Amino acid sequence: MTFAGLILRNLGTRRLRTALTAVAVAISVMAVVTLDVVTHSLQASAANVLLMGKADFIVAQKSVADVLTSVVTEDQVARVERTPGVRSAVGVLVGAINLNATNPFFLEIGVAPTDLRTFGVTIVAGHAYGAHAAHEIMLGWQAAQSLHLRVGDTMHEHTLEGFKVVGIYSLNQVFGNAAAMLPLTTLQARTRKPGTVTLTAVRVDPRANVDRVMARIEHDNASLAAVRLASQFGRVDRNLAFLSAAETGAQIIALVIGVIIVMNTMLLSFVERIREFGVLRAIGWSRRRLVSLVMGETLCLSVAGAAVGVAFSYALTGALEHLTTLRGILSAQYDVGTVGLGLYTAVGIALLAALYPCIRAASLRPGAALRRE
Amino acid sequence: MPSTPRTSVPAALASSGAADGRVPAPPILEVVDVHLSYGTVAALDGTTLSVREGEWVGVSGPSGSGKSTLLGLLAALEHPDRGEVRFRGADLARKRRLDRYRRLDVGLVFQLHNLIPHLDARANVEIAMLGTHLSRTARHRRAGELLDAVDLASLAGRRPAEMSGGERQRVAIARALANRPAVLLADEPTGSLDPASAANVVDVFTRLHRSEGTTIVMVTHDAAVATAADRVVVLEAGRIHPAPPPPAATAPASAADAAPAPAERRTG
Ligand SMILES: Nc1ncnc2c1ncn2[C@@H]1O[C@H](COP(=O)(O)OP(=O)(O)OP(=O)(O)O)[C@@H](O)[C@H]1O
Ligand SMILES: [Mg+2]
Repeated sequence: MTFAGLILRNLGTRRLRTALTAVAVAISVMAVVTLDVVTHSLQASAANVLLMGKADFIVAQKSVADVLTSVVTEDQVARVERTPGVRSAVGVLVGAINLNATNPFFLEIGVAPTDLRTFGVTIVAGHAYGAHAAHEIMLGWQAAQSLHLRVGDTMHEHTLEGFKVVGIYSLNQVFGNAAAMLPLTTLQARTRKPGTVTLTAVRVDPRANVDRVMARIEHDNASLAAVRLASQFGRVDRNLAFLSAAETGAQIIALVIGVIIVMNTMLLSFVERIREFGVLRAIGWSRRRLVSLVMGETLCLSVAGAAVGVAFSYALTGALEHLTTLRGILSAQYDVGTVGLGLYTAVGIALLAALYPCIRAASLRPGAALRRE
Repeated sequence: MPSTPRTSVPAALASSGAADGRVPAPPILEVVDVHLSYGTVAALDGTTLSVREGEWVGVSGPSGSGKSTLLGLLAALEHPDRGEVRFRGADLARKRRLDRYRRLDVGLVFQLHNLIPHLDARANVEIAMLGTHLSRTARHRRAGELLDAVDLASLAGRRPAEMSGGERQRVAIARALANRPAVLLADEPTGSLDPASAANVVDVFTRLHRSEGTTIVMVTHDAAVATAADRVVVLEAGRIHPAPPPPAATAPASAADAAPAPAERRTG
């Protein structure tokens, strides 16, 4: 028999209790992992709006609740474009519509036809819309596929009823390819936002220092924020910042509940086994070995729980993705990092939960323990 | 305390002394004027005892007289309020690694076997060897040998609940011997057994004592067990008293010419 074998036998003796405690860990891990995956997926969805097109960074209104409500005037776009070091600044209006049941969150992107190339749009079929064409639209190739539309077709989806598909385009990322593009002025008229855009996609001169240009723009335009990395997006989309805070809070609650349940089990098992532990100390086990046993049992149970928890989480987000309200927004990504998070969580729970039982084990006096009935 | 000359240690061990074999083996365990109280109860009250290498000492006395407490002291499970417990001359209170002492120097057998209920006999023996230098296979093999030595080779896979009291107690002896301790400490190992099982267990101790020269300190109420010991001391109210005179017939000639120590009386 090995030490690890002893741990397994000890856990196996109290099968039901071990299983129930592992399930508690699994639920904690599931909560932590699911919150993380969902939050990141939602953040990625929001970030995708910001990352669309070719840009070194984007400029949007500072501290709005949702980046889609950001308002940047065309004057501001022009001012940004005049900032030293800026090569181009493309004003982009982004709106989301509920197109149909399969596309409840469908993006409309308004870009002037002259800016399409700078914005990174490649037309793969047909041609660009006219600058002020009221009923011309281009579809991203993925949107065209899912809507079964080709160049020359007319749309029947209610809010876009009567729009003629003049071209199919490809952008640098999925979100843009599943969207539609309209002339900027047409979208401004449709959304009643004349003279404004949502954000500005900025590219800098090759020799310019991006950070310095960003700082300069923020300095010159008090109401604007320049963001480049996903971690900065909270500055222009407060919802993202709130989402992160809510995620952290919920994860802490899940963790605390997990720790309390596991600690309770380990303590119960410790008290039941005081005599057994007293015997082990009396036949020469060191404090360290006894503490290792308690810690090892807790870790083993928690890691098993983590595996189940990540699997639960995977199943749960799979179900969430099919909810109509989340379709197209939630696309959960499970990778090594996700499994790692589950494992860290379980180890964290184990270490915190085993702390007190381990202190009790270390301070156990074998003489007194053996007198226990 | 006064030494007892010409103890009947096994020849193999006695030969480590002077050439004539009449110089006693050195004391391996000494309890020197120990006081130990549980709250207001004085469990040991000036107890003094010396155990020689290779000796089998029985400890008897009325219930509550401090026998288990004395054994606990020798096993370093309890610590004296006053006085010293020495192993090979060194005060246990000064030892830094008492767990090593418990693991390697003494083996402990309890009144109730105290086996781990969910582990089989072999695992119960192996558990004492976890954390020693022995490899997994060596631990496995040694556990097998030890169970064989206590005639339980065929029950190695049984859990304590599937064994008789005597069998459990023999597993406990095997466990106590796992790390080849110099001294075997036993607290009423036959106390909960029927006479036949008790005889079986005593037989194991006797064989060990004869063949390996293992030093044994055994608490016992059982007169039959006491006769197997080299000598018996009696604890009364926390002090060692002379044992009552043995039946004349059982006193061997070698003991007859030995001067009995004031607090100890050899019985054979
Ligand atoms: N933990 C304790 N707290 C208080 N008193 C104790 C404790 N352990 C033992 N005692 C007392 O110490 C005295 C000696 O106890 P000990 O167990 O050594 O007796 P014993 O000779 O082994 O008795 P028995 O033959 O019944 O096993 C007794 O009076 C007992 O009541
Ligand atoms: Mg007792």
